[in-house]
This record gives sequence, C-alpha cells and structure tokens, in this order.
Amino acid sequence: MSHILVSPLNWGLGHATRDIPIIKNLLDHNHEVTIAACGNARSVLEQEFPECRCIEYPDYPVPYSQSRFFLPKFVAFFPLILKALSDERKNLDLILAKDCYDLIISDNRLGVYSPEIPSVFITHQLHYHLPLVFWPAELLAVAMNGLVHEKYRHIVVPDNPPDMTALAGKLSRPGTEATKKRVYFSGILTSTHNRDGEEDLDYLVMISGPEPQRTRLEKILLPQVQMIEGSRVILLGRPGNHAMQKQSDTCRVIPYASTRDKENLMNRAKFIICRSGYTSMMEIAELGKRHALFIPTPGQTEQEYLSWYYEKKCWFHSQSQYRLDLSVDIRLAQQPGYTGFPKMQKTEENVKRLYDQVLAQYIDR
Amino acid sequence: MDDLVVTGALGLIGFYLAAVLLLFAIYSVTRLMYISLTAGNFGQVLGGTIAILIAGSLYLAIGCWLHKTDRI
Repeated sequence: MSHILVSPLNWGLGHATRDIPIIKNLLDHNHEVTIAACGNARSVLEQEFPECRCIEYPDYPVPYSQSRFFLPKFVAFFPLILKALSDERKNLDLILAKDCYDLIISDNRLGVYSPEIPSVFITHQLHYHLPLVFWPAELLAVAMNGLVHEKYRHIVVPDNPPDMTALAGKLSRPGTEATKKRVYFSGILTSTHNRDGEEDLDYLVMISGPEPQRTRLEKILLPQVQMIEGSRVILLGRPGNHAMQKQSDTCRVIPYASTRDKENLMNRAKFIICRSGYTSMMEIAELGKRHALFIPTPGQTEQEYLSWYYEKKCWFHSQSQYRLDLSVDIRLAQQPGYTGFPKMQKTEENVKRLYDQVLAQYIDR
Repeated sequence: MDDLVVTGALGLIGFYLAAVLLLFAIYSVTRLMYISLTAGNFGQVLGGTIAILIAGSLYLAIGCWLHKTDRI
C-alpha cells in the first residue's frame, strides 16, 4: 500500500471533481490518499471521501473580474499569485516533513511537486489562449508552462490526444519539448456517470461560474426561459440556498442542486444550456449529449476559445450572453449541422488506463 | 528561495519592464508626431505614420501567421 497526496486547485469545483474518479481508483487499489486543498474543493472531496485525511492547504487568490476585462485584472494579480506560490512551496515542505508520501498528484497547482517524490501534474491547459494582439504573451506563457512542467514526471491531460477528437483544441496541445516528453493524454475525466434512463426533460439550464457574471447571466436567461415551450429546469448555482421555486407546471427553478441531483438532471435532459467551462464539456461528452447551447463567461478566454472551437468543428452552437436570443439560438443549436462531440472513451476506461500506464509505476512497486 | 518562485519573479519583472518600455515607446512616438505636426513638418508626419503602419501590420501579420500555422 502506498501513500498519495492529491492536491486540486480551488478555482471552481472542476479540478476537485475531475480528481474524484482518480482518487476512487487509488482507493480501490488499497492505497492511502491524503487530500490537501482549501475552500469548496476541499469540502467536495471531504464529503465524497470521508475515509481520507484532509489537510487545509491554501492556494492562489482568484482574479475573477467584475467586468468583461478579465485579462488586465489577471495580470495585476501576478504578484499576489507569485506570493501565494512561494507560500505554497513552504507549506508543502511542512506537509512532506510530517508524513511519507510515495506520489504527489497536483491538479493545476504549480508549486505542488517535490524533487524527491514522483510528482504528477494534471492540467487541460498546456497552452493559454489570448486575443491575437497579445501573441507574444501567449508564446511567453507556453515557454513558462514548459518550465513548470519540467518539475514533474508526467503531465496528465484530461483530453484525447491532439487529433479530431480533442475536446480542448489548441489548449491541450503541447508547445515545448519539456512538455512533449512528459505529456500523457488520459482522455476525459469526470465524476458524472451515464445512467441509462429516459430523456424526459426538454431543457436543462445550468447557470454557474464566478460572480458577478453568474448573476448577470441569470438576469438575461430567466425571462427568456419563460418564453420557450417544453419542460424546463433551471439550476441557479447559488450555494447556501436550497429552497425550490416553481415558476409553472413545466418550469422549475432550483437555486442549488447537489452533485447527484445535477447528474440526474443532466442524464434526463434532451437539451442543455450552460457555460462552456471545460468540466461541463467533459460531463457532456461523458453523457454523450448531442444537443446543447454554450454561453461563455465574458472575458474568460478559455471559455471563449472553446465556444469558438466547437462552432468551428460544428459540434455545438455557442452565443455570447450579450447577443443571446434563446428561442433563436436553441433553434440554431438543434440544426442537424451540429453533431455533438465525437464518440470517445469514457472516464471508467480512461482512469483505469491512467493507473496502469502512469500511476502504477510509482506506487505498485 | 525556491527556483520556481525565482523564475516566476524574474519573468514578472521582465513582463512589467516590457510593458513600461512599450508605453514609453508609444509616448515618445506620439510626442514626436505632435511636435512635427505643430512645426508644420508634414514630411516627417507622413514618414512617421507610414513607419507606424508598417510596424503595426508586421506585428499583426506575425500573429496571424503564428495562428494560421497552429503555433498559437
């Protein structure tokens, strides 16, 4: 039995939730897992794995912007992120001094590695997308990524290899030799399961992501959802508020749904409307949903790129929240030209392969 | 200090220096153009404008080429 330290980033829940199948697999192999995280990421994993020890391990400040201009705020946040990175390294030394670990798994936490212990880095962003005018910064970011990746034995990318089925497009394309040597494409990883059942819900609207853009989207979408026909469920993604509001016989508004409830609703939905965050994309791919409408968070270049990329590939239709006309965009999204994601291997097989081909060499000795 | 943090700090300093340099260059060129314009030196204004357009186009062309060849 080996001891593994798993540390996800707490910028949204996506990092923590995609680690769930990996942790489950490690526990199935009778390994001991310690979770080092903070905030909601820690809460989710603590709830999911009460048998695992959890350590409070702060990460980086979140530079989400009040306006559409995410990039300038992100740049202004660099010194704070650097300070947090320095603290992260010091705190890791303390964690490693207290216990023995055989493997470290860092989900997008740049400073969670050790030269003495095999370390694996999980990320779907080997390449950052910036507006064309900032191309020198995009090249610089690729080079900086390479420097970070040198610290790890493997870079696990929860995406298919860069071919026709790559979900993250250029984001998951390795740019430096250091990255190319270490990269392992695991395929999609998500905690959402495909449950065989009837698709009896016409529309599922998931309003999520960082504030204040979440509230803005809620204000844009709620009146428009009333205008469409068919059964509808709207998830508002407001933690701490669980009281259900019923708008009509065919329309329910749920302020906050548990992971399990959300999974059930996603399985039942014929059509999904949501942000184009990568975690949601993996969930939709896992469930094999073919009809969806994506609304990228303004200023989040990753989501804007994914929306553009899926339009280009004719997989899904996307629309800016500022130009959204729900009835028109739903009609466009349902056109036969949009095929949905191509068929791909699902999480269960991917996580087994990840264990056999990457993780086992460090812990099954 | 940890080498990752040192690299990050150096990268950050380089990034901010480049930003300051760029702003200074924009300020200097704008000032030069304004002085030429007020002095009635239209030849210099025209030359400066053409140079700016060529530099800007070249910059964007490199960006487009990198994008088209899937480098960014």
